[in-house]
Amino acid sequence: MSLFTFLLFVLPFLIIGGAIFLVWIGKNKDRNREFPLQHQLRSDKGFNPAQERATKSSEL
Amino acid sequence: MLNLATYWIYQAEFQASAAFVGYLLIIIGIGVYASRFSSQGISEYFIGGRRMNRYVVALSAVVSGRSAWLLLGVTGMAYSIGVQAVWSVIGYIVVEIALFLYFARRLRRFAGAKNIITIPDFFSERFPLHEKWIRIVLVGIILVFMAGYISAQFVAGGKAFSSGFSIDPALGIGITAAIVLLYTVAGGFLAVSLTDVLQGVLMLFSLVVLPVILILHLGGWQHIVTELATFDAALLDPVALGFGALIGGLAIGLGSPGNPHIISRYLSIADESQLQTACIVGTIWNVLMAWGALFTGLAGRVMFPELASLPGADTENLFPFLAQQLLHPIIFGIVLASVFAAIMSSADSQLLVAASSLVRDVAEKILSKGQQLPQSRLVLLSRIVVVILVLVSLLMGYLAEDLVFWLVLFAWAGLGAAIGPPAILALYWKRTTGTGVLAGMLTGAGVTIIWRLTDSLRSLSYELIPGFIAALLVTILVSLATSPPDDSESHFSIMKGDGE
Repeated sequence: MSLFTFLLFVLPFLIIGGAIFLVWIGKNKDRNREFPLQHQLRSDKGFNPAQERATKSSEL
Repeated sequence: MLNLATYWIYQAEFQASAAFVGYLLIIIGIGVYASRFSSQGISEYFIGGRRMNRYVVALSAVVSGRSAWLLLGVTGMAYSIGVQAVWSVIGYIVVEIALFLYFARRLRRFAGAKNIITIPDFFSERFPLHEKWIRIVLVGIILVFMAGYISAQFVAGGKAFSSGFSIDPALGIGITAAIVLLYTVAGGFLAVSLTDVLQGVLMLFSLVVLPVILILHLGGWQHIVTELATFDAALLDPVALGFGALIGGLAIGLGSPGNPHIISRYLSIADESQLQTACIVGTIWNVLMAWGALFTGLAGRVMFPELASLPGADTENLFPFLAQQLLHPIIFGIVLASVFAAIMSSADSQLLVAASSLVRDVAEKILSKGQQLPQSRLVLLSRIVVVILVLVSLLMGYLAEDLVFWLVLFAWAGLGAAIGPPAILALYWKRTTGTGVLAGMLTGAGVTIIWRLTDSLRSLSYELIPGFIAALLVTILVSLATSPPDDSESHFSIMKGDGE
């Protein structure tokens, strides 16, 4: 693929895709900041969905 | 037969004019609609009471920054230099993604906590010991660069009226100024933002419809590429003008963080978490408009290979001329309205920024010396200042019609270099000091002006690059040489959203 084709037909999609990806990363980061306990549970070996639901409902 | 042709021409002109007048009536109606809300106080008048939603902020931030440069300038540039014009749009689009996602979030959090209305407000709250001098220097910089900027928008409007409706350019300048004045005085920020949404939709419509119809009309994209290669192979070479031109094009993006008519949009969003959606919407808009302009310019070169075939042999007439040749009169009227939309969306935002500097920073904060002025009086004063600024810009437009266009070139650079680096450092570097910021602002503005006025320097690069680098370095060095501010920790805690 030539640079000409890349700049005109691929780059615009890459830019939009890049923006969506950065927003997705940002949203995940925000979520982890809002619910740090859930994040910790997920990273633990013994992740328990029932416990996570209980945590969420108690937080709410 | 002749009568039939004459009838058709009048009919087409009538339809185009009707579509255009319809657009003007809608934006004036928005001004009237927004006037009650904007009369509540200067926060409502200058930043919409910080109640704008994600879509309004996305489109408003994007179209305020583009002006007629995108529709007329980039299409003309792609016509002249081919695909290399792409570098001039990549820089600002990428920078504005970062602004929406990172810069704007910190700024909005701090603005909400400290009741910040203007950009000088932000620096004054961040460096309270230097408040007076920061306001004086920043208001000076904003007024010097914005005055030429606004005049140039009016002059561009006059030219567009002249080429679209065969009206005397001087009358066109007056009509453009009168329309912007009407809805900005009445409706303030809300009217400016809502009209920006309509203007953004019109600009996108034109920049998508016109290139698609043009490419189909010319027999498809492959045929256009073949034709361009036969005219001049350099039109298809993205680096034909060399690395310096590439950097110069990308560097246009450095102006975005420092242009207050763009960054003041971020202060108005209702909730900083909405900036993420605003980023996606704004980026899609930016990309579609920019690539639409590029395709229009490239295909336009095949449609009119000789420059002499364009009105006035001017590449900036390509966009409206193509629309006139290819589109139904009503659609042509809408496309012509989109050119005005681009002009007005920038002029109105710049007008509000300049007026807010005078009312909020000079009248309310410096001259009243801490006395509380009634909101109704401040709103009235704001409206009077908008009228005065329009008259001054109009006068500049009439007196220096040819001069104002070069003012635009360094208004973007001057504001970008003077405000951008200090703003970035104030948001991201705790060690930044008020003295450093003041030194950086003066250096950015000074280097930009000197670079622009010196022929030998101007030929080396676009003045924004040296201005931005010099302001960044001076802000850092002077900050390191002066005592660190005491309240940085608490400010950074607010900006990072700790404790939310």
